[in-house]
Amino acid sequence: MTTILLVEDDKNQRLLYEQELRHEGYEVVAASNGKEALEEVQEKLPDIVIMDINMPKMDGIEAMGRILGKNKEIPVIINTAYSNYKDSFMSWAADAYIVKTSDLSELKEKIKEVLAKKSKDS
Amino acid sequence: MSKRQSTYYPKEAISKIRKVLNKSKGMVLDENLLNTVENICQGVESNLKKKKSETAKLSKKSVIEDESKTLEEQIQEERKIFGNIMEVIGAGLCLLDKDSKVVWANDTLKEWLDLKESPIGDHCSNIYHCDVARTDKCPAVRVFKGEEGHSLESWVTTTKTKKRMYIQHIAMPMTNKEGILENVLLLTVDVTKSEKLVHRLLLLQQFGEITQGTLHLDKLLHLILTCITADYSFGFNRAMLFLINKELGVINGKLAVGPSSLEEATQIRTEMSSKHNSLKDIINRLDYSHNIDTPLNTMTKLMVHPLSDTSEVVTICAKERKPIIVKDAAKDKRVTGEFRKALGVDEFVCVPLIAKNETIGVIVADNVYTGEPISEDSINTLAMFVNQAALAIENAETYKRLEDKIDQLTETQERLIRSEKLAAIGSMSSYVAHEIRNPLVTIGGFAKTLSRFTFTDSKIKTNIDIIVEEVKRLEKILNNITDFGKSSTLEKVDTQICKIMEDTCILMESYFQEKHIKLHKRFETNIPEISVDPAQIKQVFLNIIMNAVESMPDGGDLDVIIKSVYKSLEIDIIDTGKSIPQRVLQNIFDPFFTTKPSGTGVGLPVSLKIIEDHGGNIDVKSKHGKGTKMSLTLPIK
Repeated sequence: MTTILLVEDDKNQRLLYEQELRHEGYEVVAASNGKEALEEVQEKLPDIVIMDINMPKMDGIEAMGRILGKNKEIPVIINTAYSNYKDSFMSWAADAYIVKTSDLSELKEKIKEVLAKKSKDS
Repeated sequence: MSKRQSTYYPKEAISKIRKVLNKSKGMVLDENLLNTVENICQGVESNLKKKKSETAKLSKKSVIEDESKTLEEQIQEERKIFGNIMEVIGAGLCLLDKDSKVVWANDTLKEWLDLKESPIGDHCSNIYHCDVARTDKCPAVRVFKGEEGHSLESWVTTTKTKKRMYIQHIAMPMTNKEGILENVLLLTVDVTKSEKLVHRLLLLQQFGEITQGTLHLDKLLHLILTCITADYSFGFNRAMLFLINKELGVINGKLAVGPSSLEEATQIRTEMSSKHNSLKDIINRLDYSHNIDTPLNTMTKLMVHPLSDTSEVVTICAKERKPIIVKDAAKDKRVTGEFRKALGVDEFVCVPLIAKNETIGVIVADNVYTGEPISEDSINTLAMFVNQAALAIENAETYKRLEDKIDQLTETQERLIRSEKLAAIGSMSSYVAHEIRNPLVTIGGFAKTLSRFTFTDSKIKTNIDIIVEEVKRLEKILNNITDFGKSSTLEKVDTQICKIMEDTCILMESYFQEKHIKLHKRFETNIPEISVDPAQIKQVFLNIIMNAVESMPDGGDLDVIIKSVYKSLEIDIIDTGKSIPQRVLQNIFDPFFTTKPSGTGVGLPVSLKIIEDHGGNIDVKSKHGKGTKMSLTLPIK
């Protein structure tokens, strides 16, 4: 089963994503900040990471950098409320950039796309 | 001598006879004979006496006749001299009687006053046409009253030469033998020259005073030419001003003052008051609109000569920096046929405008209507005047440059304030937007998950849908605001603006149909590609067209025009909808200002920011009942 690491500091939102993604048939591992995310990556070896940017302790950009530093094979989707990080070259390392909306269909589409690409590449 | 001889001869002869008689008294026997001779002698003697006295009388008469003849000759001589003097002085003379009726007038006066019939017997006011007749201001009246101050000055126009003259009337008393004042002699002198000179100097002085304060350039140019054409100063019929444009390396016509036809010239002359107006009056009376569209002015503005062209009289004048008098343009090699044709006159003068040792232009003046020859003297004063004018122009130009700079500065400042305002609003709004976005995502997301469940009560489903829709709407507003706050980098590529506009219109085609909008596209051919961010420009077009359509809820016409104007492209979007009220017009580019119930008030500010980021500008014109015209300009390079 495909495992998704969901990094999101907002508790309710995390709940929403977990619910929705599980409904899509994914195994969801949740982390509430960058630090936790690093630990979970080590432990659970997820197939894909969905990363928020603005988070306490360690933000999404830094966490993504560290994750990719260890294993650049893991695809990362940035899911943020801010559209302006799109221009930041740090976020170019991500496989996709999504501005959060209440309509999760875009996120779901992107996950499928990125996973399909990953399986094709490997 | 012969007279004396003839007088003495008979006397001597008689005394000789007497001597002979006395001697022969004793000798001659015939006493009777002697007596007879004696008698004859006596008779001759008395006769002689008689004749002598007659002769004396006669000679006396001839002396008188001689004298009167000499006197007459003298009078003739003096009259001749007097006539010559009068002619040389060029004065008009007129003898008036006590009733101010003309007793006698000379030819000069008749000519000046344009008298066709003999004025003798006429009242003086009939020939002088002055408005002081019979009043105490009349010099003749004053003289008859025995008062001082016997002169009066006025303007007259002689129709013969069409020359306007300034004449002075001086009244002098004429007494008869008994010393009684019987007549007044009116001496009329042409003082035009001195009057003009005085006024020129006065003008120079006034001009200097006025131009010490800085004038608006257009007003100043007008003033200069008006001075040159003012009848009572330089009195040229027309004056044209050419200024050098250093950037383009040309000298081109700026302004011309003067009548465009002979009729107009006459009319202006009659309108001009005979009093010399002060320069300040002229400035106040200057009517720009009157002169702007005259054929002469239009013609002058069309005249452009490259400075390198040394075959044209204005460029020669600018280069040589000396006044040029052209007496016969047809024969003068410095004047091209084209220039001569444009001016339509053979005699004219070019004077360079030199300020701070640099030629800034040329003034051309002529007497096309009166044909009056241009004198050296008038050119000298003109040159003096023009020098002062050049300095004033230089001042005004410097001032204008300064003003432009200040305008630029103000504009930059305003833009800075606006962009700072935008930045502040942007950062604040983006903070608020993100803070709201996260809970919105959660609310909307969960609401959507609910729709997967089945509910027995259909109301629940409807309510969930409402939550989802409303969240979507809020998110849309947030998107607008966050886009506004974001400072994205422009991704400029060479783009055909017409193509973007075409795409935008296609995108909105169904919208136009729905709202009954008739679209009229007019794109100039050969519009060059320009470097822009196509996505952002498209956003601008969309925003503005959307506004235009929204202003026409009952349908209308939408004109979209793209044309190239000098070094930029102009995109006009013109609607026939509800116009924008004046008080609203001031605010339409302010962020979050909106009059639309569902507007966010960022469409136009974002559009302006994008266009300004591209080095362009947006101009809005709105006329009540006529709709709105949005003009976007984008630089070509």
